Amino acid sequence: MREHWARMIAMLTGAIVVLLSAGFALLQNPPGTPPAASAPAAVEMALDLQVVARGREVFEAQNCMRCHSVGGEGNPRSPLDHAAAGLDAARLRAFTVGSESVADALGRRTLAAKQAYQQLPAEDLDALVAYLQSLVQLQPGDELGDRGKD
Amino acid sequence: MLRSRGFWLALYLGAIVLPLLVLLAGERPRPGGFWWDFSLALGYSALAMMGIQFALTARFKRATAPFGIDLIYYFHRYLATIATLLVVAHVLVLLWRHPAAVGSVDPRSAPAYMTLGWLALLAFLALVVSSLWRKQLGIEYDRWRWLHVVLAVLGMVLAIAHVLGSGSYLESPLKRGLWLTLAAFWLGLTVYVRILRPAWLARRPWVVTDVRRERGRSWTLTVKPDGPHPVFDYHPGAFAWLTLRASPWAMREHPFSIASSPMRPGALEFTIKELGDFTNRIGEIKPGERAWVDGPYGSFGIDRFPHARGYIFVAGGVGIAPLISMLRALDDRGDRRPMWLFYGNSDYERIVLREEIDAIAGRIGMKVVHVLCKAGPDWQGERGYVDAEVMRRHLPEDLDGLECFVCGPEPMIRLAERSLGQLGLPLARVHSEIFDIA
Repeated sequence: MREHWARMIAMLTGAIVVLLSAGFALLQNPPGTPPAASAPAAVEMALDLQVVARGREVFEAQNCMRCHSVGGEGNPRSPLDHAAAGLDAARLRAFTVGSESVADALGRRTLAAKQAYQQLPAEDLDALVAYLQSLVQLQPGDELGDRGKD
Repeated sequence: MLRSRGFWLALYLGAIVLPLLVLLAGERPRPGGFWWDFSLALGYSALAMMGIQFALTARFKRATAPFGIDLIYYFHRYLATIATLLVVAHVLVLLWRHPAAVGSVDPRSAPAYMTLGWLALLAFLALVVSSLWRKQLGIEYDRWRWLHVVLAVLGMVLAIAHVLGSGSYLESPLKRGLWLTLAAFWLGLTVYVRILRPAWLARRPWVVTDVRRERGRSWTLTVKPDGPHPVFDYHPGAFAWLTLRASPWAMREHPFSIASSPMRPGALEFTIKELGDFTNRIGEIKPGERAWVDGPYGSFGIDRFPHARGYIFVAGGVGIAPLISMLRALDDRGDRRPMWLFYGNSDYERIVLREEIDAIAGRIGMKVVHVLCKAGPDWQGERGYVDAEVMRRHLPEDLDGLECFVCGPEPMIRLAERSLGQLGLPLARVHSEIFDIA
Protein backbone atom coordinates (compact mmCIF):
# COMPACT_ATOMS: atom_id res chain seq x y z
CA MET A 1 0.00 0.00 0.00
CA ARG A 2 2.77 2.42 0.92
CA GLU A 3 4.53 1.50 -2.31
CA HIS A 4 1.34 2.33 -4.17
CA TRP A 5 1.27 5.80 -2.62
CA ALA A 6 4.94 6.35 -3.36
CA ARG A 7 4.36 5.49 -7.01
CA MET A 8 1.30 7.72 -7.12
CA ILE A 9 3.11 10.72 -5.64
CA ALA A 10 6.06 10.25 -8.00
CA MET A 11 3.76 10.13 -11.03
CA LEU A 12 1.70 13.02 -9.69
CA THR A 13 4.90 15.03 -9.37
CA GLY A 14 5.72 14.27 -13.00
CA ALA A 15 2.23 15.38 -14.06
CA ILE A 16 2.42 18.57 -11.98
CA VAL A 17 5.78 19.43 -13.50
CA VAL A 18 4.52 18.90 -17.06
CA LEU A 19 1.41 21.01 -16.38
CA LEU A 20 3.45 23.68 -14.67
CA SER A 21 5.85 23.80 -17.60
CA ALA A 22 2.92 24.13 -19.98
CA GLY A 23 1.52 26.94 -17.80
CA PHE A 24 4.92 28.56 -17.80
CA ALA A 25 5.03 28.42 -21.60
CA LEU A 26 1.52 29.88 -21.88
CA LEU A 27 2.42 32.70 -19.53
CA GLN A 28 5.44 33.45 -21.68
CA ASN A 29 3.36 33.19 -24.85
CA PRO A 30 -0.17 34.38 -24.00
CA PRO A 31 -2.56 33.16 -26.68
CA GLY A 32 -4.16 35.87 -28.76
CA THR A 33 -1.50 38.47 -28.13
CA PRO A 34 -0.39 40.11 -31.33
CA PRO A 35 3.14 39.05 -32.19
CA ALA A 36 5.68 41.57 -31.12
CA ALA A 37 7.32 42.36 -34.41
CA SER A 38 6.19 45.55 -36.03
CA ALA A 39 5.62 45.65 -39.72
CA PRO A 40 8.78 46.77 -41.37
CA ALA A 41 8.92 49.92 -43.38
CA ALA A 42 9.78 49.31 -46.94
CA VAL A 43 13.52 49.31 -47.20
CA GLU A 44 15.00 49.99 -50.53
CA MET A 45 18.41 48.53 -50.93
CA ALA A 46 20.43 47.29 -53.77
CA LEU A 47 21.59 43.83 -52.80
CA ASP A 48 23.88 41.59 -54.69
CA LEU A 49 22.23 38.16 -54.63
CA GLN A 50 25.58 36.40 -54.75
CA VAL A 51 26.74 38.29 -51.68
CA VAL A 52 23.42 37.50 -49.96
CA ALA A 53 23.87 33.79 -50.72
CA ARG A 54 27.40 33.94 -49.31
CA GLY A 55 25.96 35.67 -46.22
CA ARG A 56 23.50 32.81 -45.71
CA GLU A 57 26.41 30.36 -45.90
CA VAL A 58 28.26 32.30 -43.21
CA PHE A 59 25.05 32.45 -41.17
CA GLU A 60 24.77 28.65 -41.25
CA ALA A 61 28.47 27.94 -40.83
CA GLN A 62 28.63 30.11 -37.71
CA ASN A 63 25.62 28.30 -36.18
CA CYS A 64 23.75 31.56 -35.78
CA MET A 65 20.54 29.56 -35.47
CA ARG A 66 21.45 28.30 -32.01
CA CYS A 67 20.46 31.76 -30.78
CA HIS A 68 18.48 33.25 -33.68
CA SER A 69 15.74 32.18 -36.01
CA VAL A 70 14.91 33.09 -39.57
CA GLY A 71 11.56 32.16 -41.03
CA GLY A 72 10.79 30.07 -37.94
CA GLU A 73 13.94 28.00 -38.27
CA GLY A 74 16.34 28.14 -35.32
CA ASN A 75 16.09 29.55 -31.81
CA PRO A 76 12.76 31.38 -31.74
CA ARG A 77 13.73 33.66 -28.88
CA SER A 78 15.62 36.12 -31.05
CA PRO A 79 14.16 36.15 -34.57
CA LEU A 80 16.08 38.11 -37.18
CA ASP A 81 13.39 38.27 -39.84
CA HIS A 82 12.95 42.00 -39.50
CA ALA A 83 16.21 42.93 -37.90
CA ALA A 84 17.09 45.14 -40.84
CA ALA A 85 13.79 47.02 -40.68
CA GLY A 86 14.98 49.36 -37.98
CA LEU A 87 18.73 49.02 -38.27
CA ASP A 88 21.11 50.26 -40.91
CA ALA A 89 24.11 48.25 -42.06
CA ALA A 90 26.52 49.83 -39.56
CA ARG A 91 24.18 49.12 -36.67
CA LEU A 92 23.58 45.53 -37.85
CA ARG A 93 27.32 45.02 -37.95
CA ALA A 94 27.69 46.51 -34.46
CA PHE A 95 25.13 44.02 -33.13
CA THR A 96 26.76 41.13 -34.95
CA VAL A 97 30.22 41.66 -33.47
CA GLY A 98 29.17 43.04 -30.08
CA SER A 99 30.58 46.55 -30.41
CA GLU A 100 30.57 48.72 -27.29
CA SER A 101 27.96 50.97 -28.94
CA VAL A 102 25.31 48.26 -28.47
CA ALA A 103 26.43 47.20 -24.96
CA ASP A 104 23.27 48.57 -23.35
CA ALA A 105 20.99 46.77 -25.75
CA LEU A 106 22.64 43.37 -25.49
CA GLY A 107 23.74 42.86 -21.92
CA ARG A 108 27.13 41.76 -20.68
CA ARG A 109 26.98 38.02 -21.37
CA THR A 110 25.56 38.29 -24.86
CA LEU A 111 28.01 41.05 -25.74
CA ALA A 112 30.94 38.86 -24.69
CA ALA A 113 29.62 35.95 -26.75
CA LYS A 114 29.21 38.16 -29.82
CA GLN A 115 32.67 39.64 -29.67
CA ALA A 116 34.02 36.29 -30.83
CA TYR A 117 32.67 37.19 -34.28
CA GLN A 118 35.10 40.08 -34.57
CA GLN A 119 37.49 37.38 -35.78
CA LEU A 120 35.42 36.84 -38.94
CA PRO A 121 37.00 37.95 -42.24
CA ALA A 122 35.71 41.37 -43.26
CA GLU A 123 34.06 40.09 -46.45
CA ASP A 124 32.21 37.36 -44.52
CA LEU A 125 30.90 40.02 -42.15
CA ASP A 126 29.82 42.18 -45.07
CA ALA A 127 28.04 39.20 -46.61
CA LEU A 128 26.36 38.37 -43.31
CA VAL A 129 25.06 41.92 -42.95
CA ALA A 130 23.84 41.88 -46.54
CA TYR A 131 22.00 38.63 -45.83
CA LEU A 132 20.33 40.15 -42.77
CA GLN A 133 19.31 43.18 -44.82
CA SER A 134 17.88 40.88 -47.47
CA LEU A 135 15.51 39.24 -45.01
CA VAL A 136 13.19 42.21 -44.93
CA GLN A 137 13.01 42.45 -48.68
CA LEU A 138 12.83 38.77 -49.44
CA GLN A 139 9.83 38.13 -47.20
CA PRO A 140 7.43 40.96 -47.95
CA GLY A 141 4.35 38.83 -47.29
CA ASP A 142 5.60 37.60 -43.94
CA GLU A 143 5.18 40.85 -42.10
CA LEU A 144 4.13 39.34 -38.84
CA GLY A 145 7.27 37.35 -38.54
CA ASP A 146 7.40 34.37 -36.24
CA ARG A 147 7.36 35.86 -32.82
CA GLY A 148 4.50 34.77 -30.69
CA LYS A 149 3.96 31.70 -32.76
CA ASP A 150 6.61 29.12 -32.86
CA MET B 1 8.95 14.99 17.46
CA LEU B 2 7.67 13.59 14.21
CA ARG B 3 6.38 16.32 11.98
CA SER B 4 3.43 15.24 9.91
CA ARG B 5 3.76 13.72 6.48
CA GLY B 6 1.87 16.73 5.15
CA PHE B 7 4.63 19.10 6.27
CA TRP B 8 7.36 17.16 4.46
CA LEU B 9 5.21 16.65 1.37
CA ALA B 10 4.57 20.39 1.20
CA LEU B 11 8.29 21.08 1.58
CA TYR B 12 9.01 18.57 -1.17
CA LEU B 13 6.47 20.13 -3.50
CA GLY B 14 7.89 23.59 -2.78
CA ALA B 15 11.40 22.43 -3.61
CA ILE B 16 10.17 21.26 -7.02
CA VAL B 17 7.85 24.15 -7.90
CA LEU B 18 9.67 27.20 -6.49
CA PRO B 19 12.83 27.01 -8.63
CA LEU B 20 10.59 27.19 -11.70
CA LEU B 21 8.51 30.06 -10.33
CA VAL B 22 11.69 32.00 -9.60
CA LEU B 23 12.32 32.05 -13.35
CA LEU B 24 9.02 33.85 -13.90
CA ALA B 25 9.77 36.59 -11.38
CA GLY B 26 11.09 39.96 -12.50
CA GLU B 27 12.28 40.56 -16.01
CA ARG B 28 11.72 37.66 -18.36
CA PRO B 29 13.33 36.94 -21.69
CA ARG B 30 11.41 37.40 -24.93
CA PRO B 31 8.88 34.67 -25.66
CA GLY B 32 10.15 31.88 -27.86
CA GLY B 33 6.85 30.27 -28.75
CA PHE B 34 4.92 27.71 -26.72
CA TRP B 35 7.04 24.64 -27.47
CA TRP B 36 10.29 26.47 -26.98
CA ASP B 37 9.37 27.79 -23.55
CA PHE B 38 7.63 24.51 -22.62
CA SER B 39 10.73 22.51 -23.42
CA LEU B 40 13.00 24.85 -21.49
CA ALA B 41 10.68 24.82 -18.48
CA LEU B 42 10.74 21.01 -18.60
CA GLY B 43 14.52 21.11 -18.54
CA TYR B 44 14.63 23.41 -15.53
CA SER B 45 11.98 21.39 -13.66
CA ALA B 46 13.75 18.12 -14.35
CA LEU B 47 16.92 19.61 -12.92
CA ALA B 48 15.05 20.71 -9.79
CA MET B 49 13.70 17.15 -9.48
CA MET B 50 17.20 15.74 -9.87
CA GLY B 51 18.31 18.01 -7.04
CA ILE B 52 15.59 16.59 -4.79
CA GLN B 53 17.15 13.14 -5.21
CA PHE B 54 20.20 14.30 -3.27
CA ALA B 55 17.94 15.29 -0.37
CA LEU B 56 15.92 12.06 -0.51
CA THR B 57 19.04 9.94 -0.15
CA ALA B 58 20.82 12.11 2.41
CA ARG B 59 19.35 10.00 5.25
CA PHE B 60 17.68 12.84 7.13
CA LYS B 61 16.10 11.01 10.03
CA ARG B 62 13.38 13.52 10.76
CA ALA B 63 12.25 13.88 7.16
CA THR B 64 12.29 10.18 6.36
CA ALA B 65 10.86 8.84 9.63
CA PRO B 66 7.17 9.62 8.95
CA PHE B 67 7.34 7.58 5.73
CA GLY B 68 9.94 4.90 6.46
CA ILE B 69 13.33 5.19 4.81
CA ASP B 70 12.74 2.01 2.79
CA LEU B 71 9.86 3.80 1.09
CA ILE B 72 11.97 6.90 0.50
CA TYR B 73 14.44 4.82 -1.52
CA TYR B 74 11.57 3.21 -3.38
CA PHE B 75 10.22 6.69 -4.13
CA HIS B 76 13.68 7.85 -5.20
CA ARG B 77 13.79 5.16 -7.91
CA TYR B 78 10.49 6.27 -9.39
CA LEU B 79 11.02 10.00 -9.10
CA ALA B 80 14.53 9.90 -10.58
CA THR B 81 13.29 7.81 -13.50
CA ILE B 82 10.49 10.29 -14.15
CA ALA B 83 12.91 13.22 -13.93
CA THR B 84 15.15 11.52 -16.50
CA LEU B 85 12.16 11.02 -18.81
CA LEU B 86 11.45 14.76 -18.50
CA VAL B 87 15.06 15.51 -19.48
CA VAL B 88 14.55 13.29 -22.52
CA ALA B 89 11.28 15.12 -23.28
CA HIS B 90 13.11 18.46 -23.01
CA VAL B 91 15.55 17.29 -25.69
CA LEU B 92 12.95 15.65 -27.93
CA VAL B 93 10.65 18.68 -28.03
CA LEU B 94 13.56 20.90 -29.10
CA LEU B 95 14.74 18.40 -31.71
CA TRP B 96 11.20 18.20 -33.04
CA ARG B 97 10.33 21.91 -33.15
CA HIS B 98 13.69 23.70 -33.29
CA PRO B 99 16.35 21.37 -34.69
CA ALA B 100 18.43 24.25 -36.05
CA ALA B 101 18.64 25.82 -32.59
CA VAL B 102 19.87 22.53 -31.17
CA GLY B 103 22.42 22.31 -33.95
CA SER B 104 25.09 19.71 -34.42
CA VAL B 105 25.95 17.21 -31.67
CA ASP B 106 29.57 17.28 -32.80
CA PRO B 107 31.52 18.84 -29.91
CA ARG B 108 33.97 20.41 -32.38
CA SER B 109 31.34 22.73 -33.82
CA ALA B 110 28.90 22.93 -30.91
CA PRO B 111 29.33 25.48 -28.12
CA ALA B 112 30.61 24.04 -24.85
CA TYR B 113 27.31 24.42 -22.98
CA MET B 114 25.54 22.24 -25.55
CA THR B 115 28.19 19.52 -25.34
CA LEU B 116 27.88 19.65 -21.54
CA GLY B 117 24.11 19.27 -21.93
CA TRP B 118 24.50 16.15 -24.08
CA LEU B 119 26.97 14.68 -21.60
CA ALA B 120 24.55 15.39 -18.74
CA LEU B 121 21.84 13.54 -20.66
CA LEU B 122 24.17 10.57 -21.12
CA ALA B 123 25.09 10.59 -17.42
CA PHE B 124 21.42 10.60 -16.36
CA LEU B 125 20.52 7.82 -18.78
CA ALA B 126 23.48 5.73 -17.61
CA LEU B 127 22.39 6.38 -14.02
CA VAL B 128 18.87 5.08 -14.61
CA VAL B 129 19.91 2.10 -16.71
CA SER B 130 22.64 0.99 -14.30
CA SER B 131 20.19 1.22 -11.38
CA LEU B 132 17.03 -0.32 -12.79
CA TRP B 133 18.92 -3.17 -14.45
CA ARG B 134 21.91 -3.49 -12.13
CA LYS B 135 21.54 -7.23 -11.59
CA GLN B 136 20.90 -8.00 -15.27
CA LEU B 137 23.98 -5.98 -16.19
CA GLY B 138 26.01 -7.93 -13.64
CA ILE B 139 27.17 -4.82 -11.76
CA GLU B 140 28.29 -5.74 -8.26
CA TYR B 141 26.53 -3.78 -5.49
CA ASP B 142 29.59 -2.02 -4.08
CA ARG B 143 30.78 -1.02 -7.56
CA TRP B 144 27.32 0.23 -8.39
CA ARG B 145 27.30 2.44 -5.27
CA TRP B 146 30.42 4.24 -6.52
CA LEU B 147 29.15 4.43 -10.06
CA HIS B 148 25.85 5.82 -8.81
CA VAL B 149 27.36 8.62 -6.74
CA VAL B 150 29.90 9.55 -9.44
CA LEU B 151 27.29 9.60 -12.24
CA ALA B 152 24.79 11.51 -10.09
CA VAL B 153 27.26 14.25 -9.16
CA LEU B 154 28.64 14.36 -12.71
CA GLY B 155 25.18 14.57 -14.28
CA MET B 156 24.17 17.33 -11.90
CA VAL B 157 27.34 19.40 -12.42
CA LEU B 158 27.15 19.02 -16.22
CA ALA B 159 23.46 19.92 -16.27
CA ILE B 160 24.04 23.03 -14.16
CA ALA B 161 26.92 24.10 -16.41
CA HIS B 162 24.63 23.57 -19.41
CA VAL B 163 21.91 25.70 -17.83
CA LEU B 164 24.28 28.49 -16.81
CA GLY B 165 25.91 28.45 -20.24
CA SER B 166 22.70 28.62 -22.24
CA GLY B 167 21.29 30.81 -19.52
CA SER B 168 18.02 31.52 -21.31
CA TYR B 169 16.06 32.41 -18.18
CA LEU B 170 19.03 33.13 -15.96
CA GLU B 171 20.11 36.47 -17.43
CA SER B 172 19.65 38.40 -14.21
CA PRO B 173 22.42 37.92 -11.63
CA LEU B 174 19.83 37.35 -8.91
CA LYS B 175 18.26 34.37 -10.70
CA ARG B 176 21.66 32.95 -11.56
CA GLY B 177 22.65 33.36 -7.92
CA LEU B 178 19.51 31.58 -6.69
CA TRP B 179 19.97 28.63 -9.02
CA LEU B 180 23.67 28.37 -8.25
CA THR B 181 22.92 28.40 -4.53
CA LEU B 182 20.32 25.71 -4.98
CA ALA B 183 22.73 23.54 -6.98
CA ALA B 184 25.48 24.08 -4.43
CA PHE B 185 23.07 23.03 -1.69
CA TRP B 186 22.12 19.78 -3.46
CA LEU B 187 25.73 18.91 -4.15
CA GLY B 188 26.64 19.92 -0.60
CA LEU B 189 24.35 17.16 0.63
CA THR B 190 26.63 14.66 -1.09
CA VAL B 191 29.59 16.16 0.72
CA TYR B 192 27.66 15.74 3.97
CA VAL B 193 26.66 12.11 3.36
CA ARG B 194 29.92 10.93 1.79
CA ILE B 195 32.55 12.95 3.68
CA LEU B 196 31.28 14.69 6.82
CA ARG B 197 29.01 11.97 8.16
CA PRO B 198 31.66 9.23 7.68
CA ALA B 199 34.16 11.50 9.47
CA TRP B 200 31.75 11.68 12.40
CA LEU B 201 31.37 7.88 12.31
CA ALA B 202 35.12 7.35 12.12
CA ARG B 203 35.46 8.85 15.59
CA ARG B 204 33.01 6.24 16.93
CA PRO B 205 34.46 2.82 16.12
CA TRP B 206 32.73 -0.45 16.93
CA VAL B 207 34.08 -3.96 17.31
CA VAL B 208 32.59 -7.34 16.38
CA THR B 209 32.29 -9.45 19.54
CA ASP B 210 30.42 -12.50 18.29
CA VAL B 211 29.50 -14.25 15.03
CA ARG B 212 26.90 -16.99 15.46
CA ARG B 213 25.50 -19.36 12.84
CA GLU B 214 21.69 -19.48 12.67
CA ARG B 215 19.27 -21.69 10.79
CA GLY B 216 18.43 -20.95 7.16
CA ARG B 217 21.91 -19.81 6.00
CA SER B 218 21.82 -16.86 8.37
CA TRP B 219 24.26 -15.37 10.84
CA THR B 220 23.89 -13.25 13.93
CA LEU B 221 26.58 -10.64 14.34
CA THR B 222 27.11 -8.85 17.67
CA VAL B 223 28.88 -5.47 17.75
CA LYS B 224 29.86 -3.21 20.66
CA PRO B 225 31.21 0.33 20.82
CA ASP B 226 35.01 0.27 20.87
CA GLY B 227 35.49 3.40 22.92
CA PRO B 228 33.68 5.65 25.37
CA HIS B 229 30.72 6.34 23.07
CA PRO B 230 27.50 4.53 24.05
CA VAL B 231 25.18 2.47 21.87
CA PHE B 232 22.66 4.93 20.46
CA ASP B 233 19.06 4.79 21.67
CA TYR B 234 16.82 2.98 19.22
CA HIS B 235 13.31 1.63 19.06
CA PRO B 236 12.62 -2.03 18.26
CA GLY B 237 12.28 -2.35 14.48
CA ALA B 238 14.92 0.27 13.61
CA PHE B 239 17.81 -0.41 11.25
CA ALA B 240 21.38 0.75 10.81
CA TRP B 241 24.00 0.96 8.05
CA LEU B 242 26.78 -1.50 8.79
CA THR B 243 30.31 -1.33 7.37
CA LEU B 244 32.69 -4.27 7.77
CA ARG B 245 36.26 -4.63 6.49
CA ALA B 246 36.20 -1.15 4.95
CA SER B 247 36.55 2.47 6.02
CA PRO B 248 33.48 4.63 6.68
CA TRP B 249 34.35 6.58 3.49
CA ALA B 250 34.50 3.50 1.30
CA MET B 251 30.73 3.49 0.55
CA ARG B 252 30.59 -0.17 1.53
CA GLU B 253 27.83 0.20 4.12
CA HIS B 254 24.77 -2.05 3.96
CA PRO B 255 21.42 -1.53 5.70
CA PHE B 256 20.36 -4.17 8.24
CA SER B 257 17.58 -4.36 10.78
CA ILE B 258 18.70 -4.30 14.37
CA ALA B 259 17.64 -7.63 15.89
CA SER B 260 18.53 -7.01 19.52
CA SER B 261 16.26 -5.60 22.21
CA PRO B 262 16.79 -1.94 23.12
CA MET B 263 16.05 -2.99 26.71
CA ARG B 264 19.47 -4.65 26.80
CA PRO B 265 21.94 -1.83 26.14
CA GLY B 266 25.65 -2.21 25.50
CA ALA B 267 25.58 -4.16 22.25
CA LEU B 268 23.73 -4.45 18.94
CA GLU B 269 22.83 -7.65 17.10
CA PHE B 270 22.17 -8.06 13.40
CA THR B 271 20.70 -11.25 11.97
CA ILE B 272 21.75 -11.48 8.34
CA LYS B 273 20.96 -14.01 5.65
CA GLU B 274 23.43 -15.03 2.93
CA LEU B 275 21.81 -13.37 -0.06
CA GLY B 276 24.53 -11.60 -2.03
CA ASP B 277 28.18 -10.62 -2.45
CA PHE B 278 28.43 -8.96 0.94
CA THR B 279 26.14 -11.16 3.03
CA ASN B 280 27.69 -14.39 1.74
CA ARG B 281 30.90 -13.48 3.54
CA ILE B 282 29.37 -12.58 6.91
CA GLY B 283 30.38 -16.01 8.25
CA GLU B 284 34.04 -15.19 7.60
CA ILE B 285 33.96 -12.24 9.98
CA LYS B 286 35.95 -12.91 13.18
CA PRO B 287 35.35 -11.48 16.65
CA GLY B 288 37.66 -8.54 17.22
CA GLU B 289 37.22 -7.09 13.75
CA ARG B 290 36.43 -3.40 13.28
CA ALA B 291 32.87 -2.36 12.44
CA TRP B 292 31.18 0.99 11.69
CA VAL B 293 27.53 1.52 12.53
CA ASP B 294 25.43 4.44 11.27
CA GLY B 295 22.05 4.45 12.91
CA PRO B 296 19.39 4.19 14.01
CA TYR B 297 17.06 4.77 11.06
CA GLY B 298 13.48 3.86 10.23
CA SER B 299 10.12 4.28 11.86
CA PHE B 300 8.87 0.70 11.54
CA GLY B 301 7.89 -0.71 14.93
CA ILE B 302 5.53 -1.21 17.84
CA ASP B 303 6.66 1.86 19.78
CA ARG B 304 4.83 4.15 17.37
CA PHE B 305 1.62 2.42 18.52
CA PRO B 306 2.07 1.91 22.26
CA HIS B 307 -1.67 1.90 22.93
CA ALA B 308 -2.61 -0.92 20.57
CA ARG B 309 -4.85 -3.63 22.03
CA GLY B 310 -2.52 -6.25 20.60
CA TYR B 311 -0.13 -6.97 17.74
CA ILE B 312 -0.10 -9.20 14.67
CA PHE B 313 3.33 -9.96 13.21
CA VAL B 314 3.91 -11.35 9.73
CA ALA B 315 7.43 -12.32 8.65
CA GLY B 316 8.95 -14.05 5.67
CA GLY B 317 12.30 -15.81 6.22
CA VAL B 318 14.96 -13.42 7.49
CA GLY B 319 12.32 -10.67 7.43
CA ILE B 320 12.02 -11.77 11.05
CA ALA B 321 15.04 -9.56 11.87
CA PRO B 322 13.19 -6.33 12.76
CA LEU B 323 10.32 -8.32 14.29
CA ILE B 324 12.58 -10.33 16.61
CA SER B 325 13.77 -7.00 18.03
CA MET B 326 10.14 -6.18 18.85
CA LEU B 327 9.45 -9.65 20.27
CA ARG B 328 12.55 -9.48 22.49
CA ALA B 329 11.57 -6.01 23.70
CA LEU B 330 8.01 -7.15 24.45
CA ASP B 331 9.48 -10.13 26.33
CA ASP B 332 11.85 -7.88 28.32
CA ARG B 333 8.97 -5.56 29.18
CA GLY B 334 6.74 -8.44 30.27
CA ASP B 335 4.06 -7.33 27.82
CA ARG B 336 1.02 -9.65 27.90
CA ARG B 337 -1.23 -8.13 25.27
CA PRO B 338 -2.71 -10.56 22.69
CA MET B 339 -0.18 -11.29 19.96
CA TRP B 340 0.13 -13.47 16.86
CA LEU B 341 3.11 -14.27 14.68
CA PHE B 342 2.63 -15.67 11.16
CA TYR B 343 6.03 -16.83 10.01
CA GLY B 344 6.51 -17.99 6.43
CA ASN B 345 9.48 -20.20 5.56
CA SER B 346 10.35 -22.89 3.05
CA ASP B 347 10.74 -25.76 5.54
CA TYR B 348 10.88 -26.38 9.29
CA GLU B 349 14.64 -26.82 9.55
CA ARG B 350 15.30 -23.41 7.97
CA ILE B 351 13.18 -21.33 10.34
CA VAL B 352 15.55 -18.60 11.50
CA LEU B 353 15.64 -18.22 15.33
CA ARG B 354 12.94 -20.90 15.68
CA GLU B 355 13.85 -22.06 19.20
CA GLU B 356 14.12 -18.54 20.63
CA ILE B 357 10.82 -17.48 19.06
CA ASP B 358 9.04 -20.48 20.55
CA ALA B 359 10.56 -19.70 23.98
CA ILE B 360 9.52 -16.04 23.84
CA ALA B 361 6.05 -17.03 22.63
CA GLY B 362 5.69 -19.31 25.65
CA ARG B 363 6.61 -16.49 28.04
CA ILE B 364 4.49 -13.68 26.56
CA GLY B 365 1.56 -15.85 25.46
CA MET B 366 1.99 -15.16 21.75
CA LYS B 367 0.50 -17.58 19.23
CA VAL B 368 3.09 -18.63 16.61
CA VAL B 369 1.83 -19.95 13.25
CA HIS B 370 4.55 -21.42 11.07
CA VAL B 371 3.54 -21.45 7.40
CA LEU B 372 5.77 -23.62 5.23
CA CYS B 373 5.74 -23.63 1.44
CA LYS B 374 7.98 -26.69 0.95
CA ALA B 375 7.12 -28.80 4.00
CA GLY B 376 7.54 -32.60 3.96
CA PRO B 377 4.54 -34.97 4.20
CA ASP B 378 4.80 -35.26 8.00
CA TRP B 379 4.28 -31.50 8.62
CA GLN B 380 1.06 -31.02 10.55
CA GLY B 381 0.93 -27.20 10.46
CA GLU B 382 -0.02 -24.60 7.85
CA ARG B 383 1.24 -24.92 4.29
CA GLY B 384 1.59 -22.48 1.40
CA TYR B 385 1.70 -18.73 2.02
CA VAL B 386 0.45 -16.40 4.72
CA ASP B 387 -2.91 -15.67 3.10
CA ALA B 388 -6.43 -14.84 4.26
CA GLU B 389 -7.36 -18.53 4.77
CA VAL B 390 -4.41 -19.16 7.09
CA MET B 391 -5.04 -15.95 9.03
CA ARG B 392 -8.76 -16.62 9.37
CA ARG B 393 -8.05 -19.95 11.08
CA HIS B 394 -5.95 -18.32 13.80
CA LEU B 395 -7.11 -14.74 14.28
CA PRO B 396 -10.20 -13.73 16.27
CA GLU B 397 -13.30 -12.31 14.57
CA ASP B 398 -12.77 -8.90 16.08
CA LEU B 399 -9.50 -7.29 14.94
CA ASP B 400 -10.42 -3.88 16.33
CA GLY B 401 -7.51 -2.08 18.01
CA LEU B 402 -4.83 -4.42 16.66
CA GLU B 403 -1.75 -3.20 14.80
CA CYS B 404 0.01 -5.41 12.28
CA PHE B 405 3.71 -5.41 11.32
CA VAL B 406 4.86 -7.12 8.15
CA CYS B 407 8.45 -7.60 7.00
CA GLY B 408 9.40 -9.63 3.98
CA PRO B 409 9.64 -9.46 0.20
CA GLU B 410 7.19 -7.17 -1.62
CA PRO B 411 4.74 -9.88 -2.84
CA MET B 412 4.42 -11.13 0.72
CA ILE B 413 3.63 -7.62 1.98
CA ARG B 414 0.96 -7.19 -0.69
CA LEU B 415 -0.60 -10.56 0.12
CA ALA B 416 -0.64 -9.80 3.85
CA GLU B 417 -2.24 -6.38 3.26
CA ARG B 418 -4.91 -7.87 1.02
CA SER B 419 -5.61 -10.78 3.36
CA LEU B 420 -5.90 -8.62 6.47
CA GLY B 421 -8.15 -6.26 4.53
CA GLN B 422 -10.47 -9.18 3.76
CA LEU B 423 -10.55 -10.02 7.46
CA GLY B 424 -11.52 -6.45 8.29
CA LEU B 425 -8.26 -4.85 9.40
CA PRO B 426 -7.97 -1.41 7.74
CA LEU B 427 -4.83 -0.78 5.66
CA ALA B 428 -3.82 2.05 7.97
CA ARG B 429 -3.26 -0.57 10.68
CA VAL B 430 -0.91 -2.67 8.55
CA HIS B 431 2.69 -1.41 8.74
CA SER B 432 5.31 -2.84 6.50
CA GLU B 433 8.98 -2.72 5.77
CA ILE B 434 10.20 -3.63 2.31
CA PHE B 435 12.87 -6.21 2.82
CA ASP B 436 15.17 -5.43 -0.12
CA ILE B 437 15.62 -1.68 -0.40
CA ALA B 438 18.89 -1.70 -2.29
